[in-house]
Amino acid sequence: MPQWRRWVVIARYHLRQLFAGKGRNALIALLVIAGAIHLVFLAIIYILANQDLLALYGIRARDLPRINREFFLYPLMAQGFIVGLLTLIVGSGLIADDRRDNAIALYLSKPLTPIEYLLGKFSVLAVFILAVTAVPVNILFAFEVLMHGGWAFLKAHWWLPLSITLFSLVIAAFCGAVILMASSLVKRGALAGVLVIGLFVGHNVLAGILGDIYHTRKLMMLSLQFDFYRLGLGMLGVKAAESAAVRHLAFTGSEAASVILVVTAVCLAIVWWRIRPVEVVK
Amino acid sequence: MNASMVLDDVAKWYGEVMGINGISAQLGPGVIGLLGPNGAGKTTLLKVMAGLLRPSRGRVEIFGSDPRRNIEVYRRLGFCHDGDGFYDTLPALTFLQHSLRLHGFGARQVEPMAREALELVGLTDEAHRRIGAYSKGMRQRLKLAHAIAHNPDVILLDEPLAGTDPVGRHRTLELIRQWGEAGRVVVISSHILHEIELLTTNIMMLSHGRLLAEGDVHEVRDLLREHPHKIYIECPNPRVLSSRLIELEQVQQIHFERERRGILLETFQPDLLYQQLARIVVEEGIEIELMTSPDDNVQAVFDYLTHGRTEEGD
Repeated sequence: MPQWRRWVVIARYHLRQLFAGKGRNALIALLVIAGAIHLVFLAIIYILANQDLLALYGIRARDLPRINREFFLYPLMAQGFIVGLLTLIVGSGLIADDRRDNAIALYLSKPLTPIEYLLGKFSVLAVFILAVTAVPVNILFAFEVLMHGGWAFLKAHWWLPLSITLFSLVIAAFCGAVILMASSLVKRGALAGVLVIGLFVGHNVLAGILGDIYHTRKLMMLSLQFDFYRLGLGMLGVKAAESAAVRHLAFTGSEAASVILVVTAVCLAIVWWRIRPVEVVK
Repeated sequence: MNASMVLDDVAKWYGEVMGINGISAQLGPGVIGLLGPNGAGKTTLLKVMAGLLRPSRGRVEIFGSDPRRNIEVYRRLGFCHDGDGFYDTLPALTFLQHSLRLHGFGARQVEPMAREALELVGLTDEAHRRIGAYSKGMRQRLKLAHAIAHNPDVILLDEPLAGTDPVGRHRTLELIRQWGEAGRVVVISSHILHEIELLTTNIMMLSHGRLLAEGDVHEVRDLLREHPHKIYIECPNPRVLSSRLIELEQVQQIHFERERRGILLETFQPDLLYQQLARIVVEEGIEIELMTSPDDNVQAVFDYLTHGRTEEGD
């Protein structure tokens, strides 16, 4: 096996373990729920494309969302809760279990760099996150092209699948960095999960308090949920004129990206610092 | 000596606590015993050798390269850790296969290699059993299998005999001896000197993080000028023998062991004394029943060396 693919061994091992372990049913349930959410959006595209159906049930097209760039952000954001749960279930034990089993030294005394080790761990989570974001939303895009938009829609939005995929990768990278950071700090996966939930709740509360104190919507930027929403709007090319959401969020996509980047970088720095082959006891 | 591993003034500090200090050595093929009491720095030295710890000072080279985060070195290095590093839910065979895949071996190669390693350590019958159900001794053997499954040239073993049963211990010692004879560099740490003595005379002695001695234990013994060599002889007529020996200038002291008809000689020139002794035995027709060197062993050398250090410290 070539060196550049060595991390795949770690990813494959963890994927097998996940589906062989106690969490298998929870994972399958989450994937099914995620699929069901996407089916709702699929149904909207289908109904909008089918005038007879609209007429039959007396549905007015204007009551349904318009199929534009922003439309494809909805299914991505709708997966937020599922992505969060997947991150906790899949990611919390990725490094914590190795620390508990004293296995990091075992990995790092093999022809494997710490980056490959982390890449192997991250890719496990990325598989699941992309499976509920990039893959189904790109299918929705293809469905819209086939059912409704046609060649004109494709010509106008040919770059949208790339943006959807890239945005999904940003979500995966962020979630991966946060959960791997938490997982590297503890020796029990459950504790890593608690840590991440605490961080998530804590920063949202902080953003709310600061927003109330200073009476500025700019501080919504401290909320990662809003950051992702704003970044998604930006990456999918939604302009202020097209979207009330863009106008409501009083910060730019670049500012949102900066916050996400800083948090991701800090988490990765902590992971890097924690990934040591030897537990040093002073 | 064709040095496969070079340690040059290696030191490792944990903050203000010294792990090891000023360790220099050149290690070639064969078994090298790394000896020292608990806390002497054996594990730290092995981890520095394996590139898992960055030395605070000095240089480590394996086959001419710094081992730290060096993929090429890790391909040729097997490390048996002091602690467990297993996934308890996996069967041993799967664990070894997974490990071998990380070494870059193909899917078809890993099963026979893993089976061979398990066979070497006597775990063939337990190959499909979950590691979590293994005894301490079995886990130790699995650690060995893990260290050697990829056929490394350098094997670092941190207390591999701890917790093993007598049969497992015998098998392990035999394996280690074979690896050394096959031209591999095998560094084995232990605080039980007797275990190492069964394997090799090539030793590194550590105490308080410092290298007290390195090389052949007999040569190290010869260098300890302040301690005369001891030779113990049992024969039917020890008085006759001692009356002749006392005339020799090589003999420093003679002690009688009355109950066992033995005498204990002390000398600074053992080689010359052995020659003279042979001559006397022939001339007097003395039948030697037993002749040993009670302090020409690892334990005695270690005691001499550490005793000196203790006094210095005091």
